Amino acid sequence: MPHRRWSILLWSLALAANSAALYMVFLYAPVEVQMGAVQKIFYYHVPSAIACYVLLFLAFLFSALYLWREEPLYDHLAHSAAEVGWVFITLVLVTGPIWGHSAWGKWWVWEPRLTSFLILWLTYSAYFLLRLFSRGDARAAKIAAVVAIVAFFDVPIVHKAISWWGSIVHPRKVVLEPAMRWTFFAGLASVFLLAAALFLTRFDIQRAEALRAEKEEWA
Amino acid sequence: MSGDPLLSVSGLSKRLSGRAVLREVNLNLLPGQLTLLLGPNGAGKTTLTRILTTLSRPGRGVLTFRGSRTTESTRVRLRAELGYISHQTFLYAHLTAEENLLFFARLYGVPDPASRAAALLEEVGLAGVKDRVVGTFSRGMQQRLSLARVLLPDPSLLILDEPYAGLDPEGSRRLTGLMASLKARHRALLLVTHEMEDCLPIADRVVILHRGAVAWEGPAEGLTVEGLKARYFETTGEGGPS
Amino acid sequence: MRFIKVVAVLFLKDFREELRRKEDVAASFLFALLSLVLFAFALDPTRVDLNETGSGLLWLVVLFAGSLFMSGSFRKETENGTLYALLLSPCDRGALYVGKFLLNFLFLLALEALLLLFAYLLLDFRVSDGLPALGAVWALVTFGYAAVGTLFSALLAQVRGGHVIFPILLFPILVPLVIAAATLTEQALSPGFSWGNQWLRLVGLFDILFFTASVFLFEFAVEE
Repeated sequence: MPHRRWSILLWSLALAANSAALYMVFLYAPVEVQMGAVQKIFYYHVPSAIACYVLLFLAFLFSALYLWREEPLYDHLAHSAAEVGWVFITLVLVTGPIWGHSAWGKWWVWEPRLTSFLILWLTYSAYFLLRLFSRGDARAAKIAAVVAIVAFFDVPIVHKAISWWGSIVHPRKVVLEPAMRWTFFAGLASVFLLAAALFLTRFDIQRAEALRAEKEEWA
Repeated sequence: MSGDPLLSVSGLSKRLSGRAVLREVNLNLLPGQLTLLLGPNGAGKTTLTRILTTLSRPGRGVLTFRGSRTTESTRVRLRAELGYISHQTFLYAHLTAEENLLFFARLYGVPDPASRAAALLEEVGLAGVKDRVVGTFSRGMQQRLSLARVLLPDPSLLILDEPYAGLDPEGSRRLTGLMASLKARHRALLLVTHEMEDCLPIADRVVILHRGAVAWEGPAEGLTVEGLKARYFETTGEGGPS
Repeated sequence: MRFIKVVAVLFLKDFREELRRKEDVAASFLFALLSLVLFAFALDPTRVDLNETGSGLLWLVVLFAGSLFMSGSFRKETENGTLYALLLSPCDRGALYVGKFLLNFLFLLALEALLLLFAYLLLDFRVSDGLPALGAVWALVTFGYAAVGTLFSALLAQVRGGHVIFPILLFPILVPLVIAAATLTEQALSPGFSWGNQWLRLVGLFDILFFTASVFLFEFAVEE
């Protein structure tokens, strides 16, 4: 595996950061008065959402670079970014309702932020479906790149539209005491390290698969 | 017959899905010359053709048209002077023969599209059925209309991709005759084919592509079909064209 | 201008081809009618007042029937290689996109008109004074729908199973339009419709952004 040393480093850091963060989440950060212990999901839920946006932006950027340069490297990067981004969207959609259930009494409420993420999930799932359908097509990478760009342009518009549409309250500013703030940063760092480690691993797998497919063709 | 090349590629390399499909290909297409492009499947002929017809971008290397490197605007000019023939008809099945020709004539900005279309219909012997919808034509008729379509803008460069496929002897003879007359009118021709008998007599150069590179290139003069087949087998190790 | 002339030539060719072809237009119209009927069964019109819930529902029908038509928009051109022929011509790629876009846009408008007629006949969906406002709103939304739909049609024209993924790929992108359409339809049919309202501006933004992006990205969608 090409980036072996980087990979080991990132995964170790991610493991360390996540262990520290989990410790802080459960044993260091105080229990929030209104929502109780379930609120602690916030420390992973919000960073995951932030990581999503970063990854989807990267997917857009690499897709645009691919269209410009036609270098397979950019395609692999875009694909990996979109995929890891999708994983975190899923994480947001899972942690959100778990947190919300205690406040809402049911598993899903059509409130703006969560609904936006649902649409995001549908959009990028379609991206992967497209990859599946276009496997083996010489233009697959180019088609996926165009979709990733269009999808990203849509993100702010979807958010605006949905926020005007739904008006149920999403827990707004959670006031953070120092202990909570540190825990939040720990969560943020953990999520980002995890994302980076996943991204690198996914990227390596992508490239290895592409190389193997190449070898098979010439064999 | 000689002179500057109309269209040429030099040092052309292209990777698809990370794989090298063309390696350092040089090719010159001169007015009044017919170049034969041979090669086994997977040699890169399709990719090369796609690049020559501007449907694909060169990876590395230069595509030159009328002496200038291709930019977006020269690509458009190239397309205006380029004719492409393949096994597909490039015709709209629900439009009549005349409507098809008028459409393409207007698309190419041909002056006086109506009379040009009428003239070509006459030339390929389809004037009598000009108001019939192309979907009802026989294959032979569709091929003739296809030729008419390609000739509408009077292209200075023609690329023919396996044009003999599915043609009966009469059709093959007519095609060869057409290519000869185009040559005589100083058009540059590139013929990608597996059938050598019909076109070797009128060919000027032969290029054999193998594994993305030009394996052999030379004048067609003095080459017999058997000689060419032997040369083909030598360079590619394959049975070769019929 | 040459560009406009080329767009006109392309559009007229497509228009004539569709009219002669008939099956794609007919299938889409019939599917729209069928969907309307199915919705009626699913929702029981005697108990549900379509004038209240109608707005969004009609748009769903437009979405499904429209995508049925648009998904084949460029795929049709691969039948005899005509897409190749178009790309090999000196025709501006942007003109190619705009020509097809116009065809899809006008088709959708016709579909919507038909739908409104049948919604009135079958489900007593009354539009009356709201018609101008409704027409304008629907035209604006349809513009954005046709813009992205045409791009995706070109994108998927040669992909195996393109017909199948077309709606799955397209619909999430159109969510803002669907919400806007439902909201604006309701507003257009009630008194005091304001032309400066925020939803119109959102749709306008969507239209401009995605039409421009599509014209630009179209080249990549069709090149090898």
